[in-house]
Amino acid sequence: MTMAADIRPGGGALMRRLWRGGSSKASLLFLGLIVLCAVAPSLLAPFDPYQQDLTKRLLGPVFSERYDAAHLLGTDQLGRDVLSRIIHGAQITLLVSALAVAVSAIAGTVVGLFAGYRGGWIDLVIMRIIDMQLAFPVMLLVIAVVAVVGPSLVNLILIMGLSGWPRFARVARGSVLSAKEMDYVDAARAVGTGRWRIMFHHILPNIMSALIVYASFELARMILLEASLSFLGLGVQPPIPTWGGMINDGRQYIFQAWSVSFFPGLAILALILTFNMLGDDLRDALDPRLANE
Amino acid sequence: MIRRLLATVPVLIGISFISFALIYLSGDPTDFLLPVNTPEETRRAFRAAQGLDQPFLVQFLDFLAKAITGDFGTSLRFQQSAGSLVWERLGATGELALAAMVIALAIGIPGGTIAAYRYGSVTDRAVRAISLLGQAVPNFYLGVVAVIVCAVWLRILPSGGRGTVEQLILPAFTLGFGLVALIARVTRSCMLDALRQDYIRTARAKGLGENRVVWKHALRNAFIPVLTIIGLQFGLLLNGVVVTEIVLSWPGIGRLAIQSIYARDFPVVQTIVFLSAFTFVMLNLMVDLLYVVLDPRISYK
Amino acid sequence: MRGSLRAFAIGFAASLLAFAAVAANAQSVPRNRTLVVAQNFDPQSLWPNGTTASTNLNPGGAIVEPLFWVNPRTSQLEPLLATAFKMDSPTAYRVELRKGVSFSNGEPMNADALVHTLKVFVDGAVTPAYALYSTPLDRFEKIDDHTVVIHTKNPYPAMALVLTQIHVIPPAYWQQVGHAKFAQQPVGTGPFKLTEWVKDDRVVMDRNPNYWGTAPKGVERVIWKPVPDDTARAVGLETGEYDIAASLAVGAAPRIQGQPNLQLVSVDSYRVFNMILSTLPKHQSPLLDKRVRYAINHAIDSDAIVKNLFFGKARVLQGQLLRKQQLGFDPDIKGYAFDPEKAKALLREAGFPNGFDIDFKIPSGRYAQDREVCEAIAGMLAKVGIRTKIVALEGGEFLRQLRVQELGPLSFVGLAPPDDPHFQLSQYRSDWRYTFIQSAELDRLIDEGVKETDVAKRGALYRQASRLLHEEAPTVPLFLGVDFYGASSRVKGLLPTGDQRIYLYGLSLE
Repeated sequence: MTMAADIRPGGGALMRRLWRGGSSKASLLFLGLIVLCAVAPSLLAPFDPYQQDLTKRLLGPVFSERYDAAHLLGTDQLGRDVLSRIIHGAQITLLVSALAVAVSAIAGTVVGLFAGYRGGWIDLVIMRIIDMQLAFPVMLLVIAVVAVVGPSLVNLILIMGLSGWPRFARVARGSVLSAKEMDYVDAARAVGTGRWRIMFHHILPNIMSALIVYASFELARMILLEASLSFLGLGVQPPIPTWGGMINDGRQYIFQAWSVSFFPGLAILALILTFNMLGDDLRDALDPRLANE
Repeated sequence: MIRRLLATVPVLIGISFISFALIYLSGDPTDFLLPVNTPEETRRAFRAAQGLDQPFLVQFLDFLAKAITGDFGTSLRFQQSAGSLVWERLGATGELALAAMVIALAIGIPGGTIAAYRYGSVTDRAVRAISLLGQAVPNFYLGVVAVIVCAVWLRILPSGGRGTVEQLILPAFTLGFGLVALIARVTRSCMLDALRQDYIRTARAKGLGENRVVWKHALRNAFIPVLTIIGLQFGLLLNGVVVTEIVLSWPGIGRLAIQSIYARDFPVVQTIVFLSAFTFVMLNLMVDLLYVVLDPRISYK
Repeated sequence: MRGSLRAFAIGFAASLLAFAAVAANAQSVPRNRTLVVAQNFDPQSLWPNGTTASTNLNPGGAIVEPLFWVNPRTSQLEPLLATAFKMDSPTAYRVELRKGVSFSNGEPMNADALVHTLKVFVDGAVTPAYALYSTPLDRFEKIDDHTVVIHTKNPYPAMALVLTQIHVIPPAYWQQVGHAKFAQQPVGTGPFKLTEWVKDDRVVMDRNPNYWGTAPKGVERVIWKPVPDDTARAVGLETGEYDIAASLAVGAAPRIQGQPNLQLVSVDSYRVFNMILSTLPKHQSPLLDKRVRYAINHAIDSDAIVKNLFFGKARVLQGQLLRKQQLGFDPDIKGYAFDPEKAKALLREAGFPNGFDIDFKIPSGRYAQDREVCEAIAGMLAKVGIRTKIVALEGGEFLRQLRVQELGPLSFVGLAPPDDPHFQLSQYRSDWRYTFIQSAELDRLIDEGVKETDVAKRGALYRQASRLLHEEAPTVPLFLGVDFYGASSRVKGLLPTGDQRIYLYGLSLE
């Protein structure tokens, strides 16, 4: 898991290297499409995702037996357009998982940097807290907290985010420990640079690549966590569409209308594959030893 | 080593405290355990009988004092010892987790190794894509689809329950498939590292067969980080267990945990959290020990 | 590597051995004489008076029997361990016990056993779940070996219902093991005896050879399986793993109906689904204006919900909370007709020409289709300009908020009080924990109704109460729930009750 931080490709070079790989190209294009959906869902979606029509519920996609030409991917249990809900769902799904990762990345990195840089008893205490959090069954933690504070969107993001911080803290701390001994850090210290400045201006940029790779895997994990919470009835509040919630709602009608859960399932599958592939490719691209082969 | 063991004590107490506080804050179990229209005096008497009217800290210290002696209290919902409720289901969950891990390793390690060996090739991409599939579908959906395909359409496997080998296949697959991606990925990246090492060149130079070089020498070294990941992913496994046990009617701890949280059954939740934290700590300790066995260069002095 | 491989091998072998051990515990009863019932949960207790949950009562009641039961085929009170009961005075009820019945451990089922059972029944520390029924009971008098008189603190017209809840236990065995152990290893007079209980996996019971009555024909063994997932229960029924699957999702119903070897049984539930529209001043909201409450009533199309979301199987409520079959149902009350224009007009009149925003609290996964129904309701309210923000609450939190009146001003509930109009209406008494209306007149009607032993007069009181509730509109009565059961066509005579009780009386297996 450790990453050599001595050679850093610039952003442009990184993108070029990523783009070279065939699968990355596909991943980046797909991600672009999803981001487009998330940014401007109303432009792309043929219908209002909340508009119900109880007389047109559980229609199949256009190539099935029972369909309505207007609804490309069919309708859900309340007669809402599945395609429109998937497009709008991209927004919430991405928002929730991205913000949750941001929360855990920021919290974890700050704590990890601090622990690694300061060392001593502070490090020891923080490591114990990390152990504690890692040993705590995440799902039970999230359920208990959601039950206490209520499942609003903000709460959900915070809780999911807090469930992931120890991993970031570990990555950050490990990288700091090795970076601390580097010459440039010594040099900065010698000229009297402040502790926080060293941490954020000199050490953080060096471990950034490791964190970004990790974040892409975490994004995938958060999407699944939100889906699992929906399964337990603790996900994002209805009627707001999220892919995980749509799969869970549609699951009940799997025999009558397989499409209701299938298409959001496909969307999740593609997005998670994309995040994971990108994460792998990013790692390879960032790894200077592989770059030259 | 002993210091490490001692360091786990505050961790376990801290975890117990947090889970106790969370469940305590999340509401009064009386609401759930008695019908909603029960008269108020009966509720009060029930609370007193179960010790629920005590202040929070008293309840917690009471729990802790008993827990040290191995007594986790009496389940509010079942009126049975919480320890024995968990114990009765431990075997089922252990069996499921073990089987899932075997499946995940059996697919993940060879997959990751082949991907690394054929780095950048179509095989690499294909193996990665397949190994990622399991992680890319929420496992409740994977479970449902697997049941419909195997139990309803093909009629080759039962839809749920525990007892026979056939009944284990679907839950183990549902749970294990999600771990394949992770194991394959770590194996791949560690193998990439290992294959570039000097000793591999030496081994090849000595004229050892490619198979022997890859599967014995390189994999042996790559196996250490894989083990660490397995240890750290125990929590992830437990999340999967909750969902899998519900979808496939597996009589384990995950289901008990969810129902106990919903019913605010403090003692049972406490026992499960404590037990899983303990298992996590012990597993990681064992992984550290295995390091020593696998890699003679590391030793704890 | 080699060492760890060996560890895996050993582990795997050990788990295989575990299977072999389970498989060796082979069934001695053939599958076609075994009835396998899938419910959503494992029982917490097999002592029927331990909890009121149907998942406990169904298996527990097959072992420990009550005095009477309401036969769902006839809707009549029919005798089981008691043969008759009559009112000596408004506060004294005489129960005649069946003669010659023994518990399966040999103890006689007689007046002493019943008196002991009643003492346990009224002990709030042991039987808190039945406090609502037992509070009016006072003392118990043994007349002879098979006659007991139950004295109550005040007249108790709902006594018949209480007698269906009292499950008779063997006194000597109970005293020997205590209630906690009894809940694990019950002994009763029922058609089946407990053989094995593997927690969260199966409860196995075998035929009681000395059963006093007619045991279910063709059933040697009953296995109760907890299958928490709705889809899994439906699938297991289809693959023949289960003979009866309880509490099926609506979505599974059409598929089961379409299969030749399966049958679908739909039962009107006692669960009454309605929306709370709080009239309490502490819930400040536009709903304090009666016109807004009428508007909401006019905005909701219960027929469309039932027709589309429940395939027409649920029953729309007729502007009141009581069912047609219940005492106190008033046929003259007509529900507020679905009329969005009228709703908009009423909102304008009340000073909300552009509607308003309001939180809508709903339970998540507590009742069948709860979220769907609420999303549909929210959609209907949106059409008349009431913009709701749905707040879905986890089950435990939902109950807590209900109890402390935090569900106001607007929420969706489905409550199933015991099947007597008093228990339904008393939830609206001013001092009830989760009432959302204060009315001295309503309180008076409820108090008089519970003491009135003349059936006609009692019905008139409740009709008055229903009219008052209709006029004040602190609720939107939506529909009666419907429970779906699937069964193999081998199962004959399956008819569960509206409180999800599966009685094995009259059931048979081909």
